[in-house]
Amino acid sequence: MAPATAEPLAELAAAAGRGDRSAFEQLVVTTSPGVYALAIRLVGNEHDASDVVQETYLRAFRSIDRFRGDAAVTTWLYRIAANCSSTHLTRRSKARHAPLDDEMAIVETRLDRDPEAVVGASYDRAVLVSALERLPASLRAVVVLRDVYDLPHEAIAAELGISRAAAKVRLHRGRRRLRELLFSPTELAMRPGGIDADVTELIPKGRASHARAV
Amino acid sequence: MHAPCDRLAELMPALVDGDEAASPVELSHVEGCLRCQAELARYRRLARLLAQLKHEREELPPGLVCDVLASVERVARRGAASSGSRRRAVFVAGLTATVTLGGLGLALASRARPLVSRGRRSAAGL
Repeated sequence: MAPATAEPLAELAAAAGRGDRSAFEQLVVTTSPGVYALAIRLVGNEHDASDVVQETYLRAFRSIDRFRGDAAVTTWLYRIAANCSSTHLTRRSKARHAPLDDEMAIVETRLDRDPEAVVGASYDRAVLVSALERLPASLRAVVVLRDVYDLPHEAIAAELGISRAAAKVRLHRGRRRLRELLFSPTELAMRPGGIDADVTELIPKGRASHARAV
Repeated sequence: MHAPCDRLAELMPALVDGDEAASPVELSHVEGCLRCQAELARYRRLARLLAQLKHEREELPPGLVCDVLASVERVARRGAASSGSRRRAVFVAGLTATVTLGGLGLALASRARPLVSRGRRSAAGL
């Protein structure tokens, strides 16, 4: 589905806030594929993601009359979804009597997500998604919310119930893990023309600008 | 790997989007170090790939939107029911107040008969 432009969404949210039920339904129909995509990234499977989507829209419905349009509607929904996902993961980890710590890895067992089984133009994306799924949930949440959905550190910390400093530490650890997973020596050796190929191209022409931007 | 490269490799996840600032010494090192530039390029590539995921949409499981809307409907009905009962409570309270005030009015009226009778007359005059 093509992403809706911001203005009609804001209008829908405003109408929904005034009690227009069909506007709220339209909002659900328009935004749910994006919210579902975020939920899958955060909780790691379709079943739990469906629960998160349900909870997200229930909370959104209860508070839509207080939505003032300071943020984009999607950002507002993503924040609610992040909060719901966090609650969901905590509940799930308690149910399994296992702590949700930074070391808990998600093991990818589905063969169709195996990076080595994927070839062609979608290779980079498939490798990235697979690497994301292998990140511990607590690191993945921060990386996804910051680097994919561009939420501010403060918002991420607030929705995940952690300090801003802790959110940053997790973000940097998550990025480092992803870098290791994506650009490991094995990966380079096996795929000389793969995901890391542009690095060697970038260096000679972009040397000065890289250094300045650091 | 040299010590400055090790240190910069540690810092790179924070440096790549300006979360942390590099010192002038670190900056000039990166400027002259192909290894560190390659590392920075990897993090930039990672950032670009991650940002591209933002506009992805997942196909919803069949029935999820209907389930969501049904849940919302249930919550809305409960809300309406509770606000309906609130409205009823307000109505009953209002009715009680009206009756009480009405009673009070009658009591006062019975004490101030001439005023009421004047009122009745003027009302009749209209």
